[in-house]
Amino acid sequence: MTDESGRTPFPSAFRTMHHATALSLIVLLVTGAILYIGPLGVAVGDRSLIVAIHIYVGIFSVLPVLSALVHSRGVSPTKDALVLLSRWTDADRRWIERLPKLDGPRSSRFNAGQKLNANTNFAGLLLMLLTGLIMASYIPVSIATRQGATFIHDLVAFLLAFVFLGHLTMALTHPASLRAMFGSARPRGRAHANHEEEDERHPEENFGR
Amino acid sequence: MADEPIVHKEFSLTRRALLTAGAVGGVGLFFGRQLQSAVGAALSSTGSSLANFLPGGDQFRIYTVTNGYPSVSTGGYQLALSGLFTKPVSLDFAHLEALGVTKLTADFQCVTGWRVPKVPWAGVRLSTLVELGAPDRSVKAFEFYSYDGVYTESLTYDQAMRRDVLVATRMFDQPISREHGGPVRLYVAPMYGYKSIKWLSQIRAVDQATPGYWEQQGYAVNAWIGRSNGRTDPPVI
Repeated sequence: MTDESGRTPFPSAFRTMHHATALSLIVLLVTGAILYIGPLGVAVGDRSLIVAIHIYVGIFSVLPVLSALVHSRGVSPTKDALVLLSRWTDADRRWIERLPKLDGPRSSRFNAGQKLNANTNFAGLLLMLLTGLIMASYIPVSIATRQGATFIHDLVAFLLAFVFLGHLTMALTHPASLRAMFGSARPRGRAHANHEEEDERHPEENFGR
Repeated sequence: MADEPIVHKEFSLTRRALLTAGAVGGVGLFFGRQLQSAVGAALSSTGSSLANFLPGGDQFRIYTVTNGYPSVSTGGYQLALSGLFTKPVSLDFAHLEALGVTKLTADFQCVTGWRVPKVPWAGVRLSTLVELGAPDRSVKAFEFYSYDGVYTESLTYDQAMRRDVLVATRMFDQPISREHGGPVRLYVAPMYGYKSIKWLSQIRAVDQATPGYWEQQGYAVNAWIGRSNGRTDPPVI
């Protein structure tokens, strides 16, 4: 499955979830950088506005994925995709062992790297939300806890920024995958025809190829 | 579909990711202060300014509680001594400078954890200004007001008369910049940074102080560094 051609486009609900989360993350990284980097914050000036945007978008950022998780399997292709992204198999372990080559085996449409990316972002954003809320609120936690929350928030921000840059690099260097997420939503003729019947029986196993 | 060997072990990556995040969060919240101290010490020992940029490193963060920063020129600056002073007076910047210069080098420690070590400050001791205003015998404390119109602070009489409390006009041998609270701010060396009010406009002598901006949000009024869950190493004077 290393052939870059013939990738089935992702369904539109899946794309919407992706785009909403991605845009949120970009806004969070930019506003976060403004808040964290002194000279940048000084240049922008209106700190309380940047803080407000950062907090509201932060709270929103996990909602697209969470709302997809609420659906049941088989009913929502987006939920099926999330189930696939969540499942780690032997093939994924072997895919990792093949790094830096990207030709390891896959158990589904998603490779191990994509699964790690999705789950790191999901768990990471939730941790950022928790530590961020401690920082932003006046809940009377001890100052040591507040300091700990700030430190973890800053550290995980760097991690997520790094993972984001990796994801961006992968997306920009794999045009077929990029098309699946941003290109035409109509499936390509041949791939669609071959899997039509399989799709109805096993929606999760055949979430496109 | 390609042949695939039998799956030996399969697990939920999401569950593991969430557990890992929870563990990181738990460790961070309970041990973050120590972790940050250790990381901070390691980063500062490199002496690199890039290292200071990383989490745990020693760099200033510019905070303001309003939109932007007040703009006050040294020419237009006035510091009012008001309230229960028997000699209430308004000092302009030149008058402040004429009162002499006291230098004080100490750490700036923020309650959220970051610290900038050994910052050189210069200005007039707050005690000098208190004596200038000659407070009434009933005075127990002082309230401080900012040109931003929102931020306030307070110190008890004894705290205000300490040798390490400065009405600062210079830091790093330069006039205090606008974002750092210039032209004049308070610097209270033994306390967390939120006591060091920026864009100082007024010192009011009172018999009972109203808690300041952050104290009203739950932070300590007597914000001694190290005596309230902060870093245990005291500031260097």
